[in-house]
Amino acid sequence: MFAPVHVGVAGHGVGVTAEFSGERAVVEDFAEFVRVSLPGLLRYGHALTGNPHDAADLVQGVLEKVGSRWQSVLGKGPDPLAYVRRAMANGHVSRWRRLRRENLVADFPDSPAQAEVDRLEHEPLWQAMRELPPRQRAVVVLRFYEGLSEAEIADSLGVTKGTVKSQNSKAMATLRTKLGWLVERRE
Amino acid sequence: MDLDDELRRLFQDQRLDIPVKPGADDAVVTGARRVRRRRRALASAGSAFAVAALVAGGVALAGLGGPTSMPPAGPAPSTVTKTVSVEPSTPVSGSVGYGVLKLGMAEADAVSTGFLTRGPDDSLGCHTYFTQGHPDAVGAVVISPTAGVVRITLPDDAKTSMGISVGASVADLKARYPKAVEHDFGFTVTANGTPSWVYVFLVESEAVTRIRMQLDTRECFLT
Repeated sequence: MFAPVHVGVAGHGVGVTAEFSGERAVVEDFAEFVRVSLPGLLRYGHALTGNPHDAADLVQGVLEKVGSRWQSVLGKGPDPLAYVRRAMANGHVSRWRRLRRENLVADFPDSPAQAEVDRLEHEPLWQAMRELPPRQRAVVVLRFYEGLSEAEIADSLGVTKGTVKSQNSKAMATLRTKLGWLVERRE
Repeated sequence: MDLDDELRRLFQDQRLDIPVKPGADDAVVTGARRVRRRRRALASAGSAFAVAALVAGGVALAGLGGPTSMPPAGPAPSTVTKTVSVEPSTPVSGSVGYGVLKLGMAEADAVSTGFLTRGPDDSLGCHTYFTQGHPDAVGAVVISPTAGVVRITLPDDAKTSMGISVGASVADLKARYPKAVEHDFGFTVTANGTPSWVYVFLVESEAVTRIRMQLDTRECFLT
């Protein structure tokens, strides 16, 4: 539940009004966050999921949940964007995501890109990443897109450092196998 | 080529950009409002559920619903029972759990067992706890403000009712739980109870590394 926040307007004196204004300020703050961060989050979602459709789906699902408790998210730390990105990484690997998808309504405008071929379709590395299970892919994205350490990745995904290590080495082995001749040729 | 460099290059590629359609931000804000309304509705429904659980608990105590759990093992951690309380196929009465910890148990009750140490909140605002058996595992126990305890991680030396513990082989797991469903992280076995819950078996190198009991809920990020 959203607690009243100070909105800088004195003299209303009625609790309900103050709470309403506070709630509205929180909603406006969240709306501004969405406007500013949506392009970057969609891009990040694209890296995590491997296609624009699932990216839009993931971003919508996570932002709706996070936005529904925006004030408490703001209270958790100075960087809500990092928080949302962690939530997306978790959302991607979560086996519950499929269930959540079924609950989403279809009012999120489809990305224009999804009607077209994914513009990265012909990148061998992008194709090779399709072979990775969600958790391995998340580890690769957290490591190379976000530049996180093993410990930070373990913390983000709620797994042990050993798991991060093993998932990472499995992922890299798969990618090396898929890209075999490319890796050799350029070395 | 160096694979690390190639991955960094790929993630800087402009083709990863996805154009934002006009109105997408408004749709998200509207969606967030809808989720909040739904959660408020669930929160008030939650108290009704608590009453139902109490009634069901009473029936179980009277032996009519079939005892589905071990009696509380007492407050000392050294005396926690090492027997998991139920089989997934057993109809449950709101008291499924491990020792004194039960799925769906209110947070205050769970904390008062003395086995839990608070960790960071998860991405959806649920509370995570370390346990004495898993002092380093973030989210060993997860508690939703509305649904109560939604995840219990079994101590490594605990066995499920079908005899599976950490270290068991995947072959054993499949033999004991023929209906286990495979995922990239391991296996799940769904119970037929109300509320619905699952065993989650994390697997690495063909062996079980962790066993969790989880309510089938979307309230928390249960990866």
